[in-house]
Amino acid sequence: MKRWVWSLFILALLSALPLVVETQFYLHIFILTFLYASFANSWNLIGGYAGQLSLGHAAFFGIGAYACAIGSVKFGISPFIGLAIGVIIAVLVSAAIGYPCFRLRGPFYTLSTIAFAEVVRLLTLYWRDLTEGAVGILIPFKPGVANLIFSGKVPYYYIGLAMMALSTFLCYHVERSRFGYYLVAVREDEDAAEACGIRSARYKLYAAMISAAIAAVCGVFYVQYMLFIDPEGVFNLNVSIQAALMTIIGGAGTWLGPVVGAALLIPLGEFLRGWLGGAARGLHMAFYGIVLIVVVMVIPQGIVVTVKNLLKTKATRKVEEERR
Amino acid sequence: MRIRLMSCLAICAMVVSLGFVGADSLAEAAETVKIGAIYPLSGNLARLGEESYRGAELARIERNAQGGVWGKQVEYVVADAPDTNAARSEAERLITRSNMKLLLGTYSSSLAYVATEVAERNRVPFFEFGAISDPITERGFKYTFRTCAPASGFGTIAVRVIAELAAPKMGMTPKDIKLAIVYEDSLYGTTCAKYAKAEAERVGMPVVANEPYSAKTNDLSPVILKLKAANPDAVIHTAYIADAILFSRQAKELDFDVKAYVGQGGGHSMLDWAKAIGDVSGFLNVDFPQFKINKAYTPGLDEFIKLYEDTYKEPPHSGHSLVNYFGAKVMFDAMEKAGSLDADKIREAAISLDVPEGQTCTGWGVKFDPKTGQNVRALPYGLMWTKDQEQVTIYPPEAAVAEIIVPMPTWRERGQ
Repeated sequence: MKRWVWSLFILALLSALPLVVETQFYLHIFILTFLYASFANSWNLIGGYAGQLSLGHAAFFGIGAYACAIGSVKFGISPFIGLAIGVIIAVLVSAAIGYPCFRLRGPFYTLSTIAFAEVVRLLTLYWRDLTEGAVGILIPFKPGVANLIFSGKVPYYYIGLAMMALSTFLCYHVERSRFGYYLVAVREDEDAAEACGIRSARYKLYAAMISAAIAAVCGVFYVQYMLFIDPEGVFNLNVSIQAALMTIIGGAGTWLGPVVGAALLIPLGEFLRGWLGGAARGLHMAFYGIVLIVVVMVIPQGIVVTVKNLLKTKATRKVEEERR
Repeated sequence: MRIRLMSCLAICAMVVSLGFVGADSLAEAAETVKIGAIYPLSGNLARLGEESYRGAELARIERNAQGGVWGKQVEYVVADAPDTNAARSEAERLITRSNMKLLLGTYSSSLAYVATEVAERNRVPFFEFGAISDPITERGFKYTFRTCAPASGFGTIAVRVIAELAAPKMGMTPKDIKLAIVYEDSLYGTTCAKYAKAEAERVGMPVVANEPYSAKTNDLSPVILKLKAANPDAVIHTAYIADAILFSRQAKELDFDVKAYVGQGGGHSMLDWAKAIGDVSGFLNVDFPQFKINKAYTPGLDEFIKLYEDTYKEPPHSGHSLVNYFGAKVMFDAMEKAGSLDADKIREAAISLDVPEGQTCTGWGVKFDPKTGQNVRALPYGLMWTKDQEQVTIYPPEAAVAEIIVPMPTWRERGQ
């Protein structure tokens, strides 16, 4: 119950924020944080709960983005339909990768996702007529709800916030559902899970498909916000790694982890670059790296789990003290 | 555990304190004119990004020594944009948080796409000094101005060098010359190749091969073997540095010779490429103005080189610094004329600038097309590498200091 109150309180606080914050740059950072938190949420489903390390989530992200961009620029389709098409393609593709891979043990899923993201990148470069290749697609700036393009940042802010809230709620729900327990069981010991009657391959596949759908939605949001898309920007291995990184730093396999991870890393990266980018070449990246190394060394289970454990030990101590 | 935690805290404190040092240094100096500068200063674009930034910085130093703009000193607020996401964030930050009323940059075309878009939406004039992709100035933006030559100029000049200089010397007409176009498949290569092809079609030069490849590849022999099979007389190659070196090395191994080989700037303009190949005499290139050029056509060039050497204690790495220097000077002139940083006044002043060719340090004139913001008096130059690993200007004739050597020496003639 308490958790609900807190969540609603934070949500209300975030909703009220654009009324106070006027500097567009800060809103921009919030929007990026919402976007990457949602993207990390999608990664968390398959990488966190099910324990299947995907390093090709950029592919699903990019498929959503490209489906929407190509649809609206080349065929004049509404971005909402583009969104639907992108989600369907991403889900089908993730099923196609997952179906064979989840039957195997070992690093096959991870390797397939990396390879697949690279294949999609090369295809977008190759299908020049459709994707404009490396030139990228510029979305003409025509604001309007029908085009899902807004001239100000506030609509993007609320859409991003809603996206993050919904995907986090989904993760929260999954964590407490039978489905979620299956996934965790598969992650911890696949043989034991199978012995209990869990069809591990099937549930991993479901998780991968839901995850791909969310990633595609994030991709659509990205392209509607940036109004420019090129293969280097969306299919880069760094995009995939970022999703995994934020989840792991925040706490993989916890519903709050990706949000905490994104809320830490996105502003950190942006501010470090702002402060140090002009002063010393590449120093901001070095510091970003140091922070990552330190976090992983000191709290390898992620922020959320560590904080939870700390609170727990405090509570037990208190109980013990009271007993005395 | 405690020691670990302490060290972690210490590092975090260090990060934060260093951050504030950076922030403080930006806050001081009140009576200056501040301009936001966006360049890729880290990541894989950093090499030429830094060189570009140096050019703009030298123009600033020089201008300040001469009294600045409106009698005030000019200051850059520098932002690092290694990729498009960062370019967007940094443009947002400079405009909405640091309150910049004027931006400059960026060297890379995809960065320019994103940064100019943010600037246009906030009604902030953006002066692009180095990015060459044509669509940057084809979107009908009111406040984007490009001082340098666009990519279409590169492909066009490459074909003209072959058609107007190489062909007559070999007793051929453009129609006899079989042309192969090779390019790395990102924005830069794709655009150059497109315009080279268009110009070749215009002059009736047959294109026998059109080969894209990824600049990240570590084997170009399939591409070279395909070219060998097509047996072209001339090659136009658009490449970054690593793939330019790789292509030349493998072409040497596979004995792929042509009568004329024209680079498109990028890797073929880098001394590192020449050093890796050794004897580069006769290799042609198209690029922004280089330093071996008819000095009567480029007054002020020697002063720039001296300023560069005095400031950075080394000779310029490439012409990127020069064009950014030129661009910044044009921008300062527009500012001076505008009298304030008001977007519409800057636009008016920029459009009213009128300098003919052959009177600036790059030889370029200044005349912005009011519809696009493109400087229509800037076209790249035809260049040729010499035995001493220097690039001499061969085209256009008014700026030339050497004559083209065709057919160029074969790999065998070059020996080791």
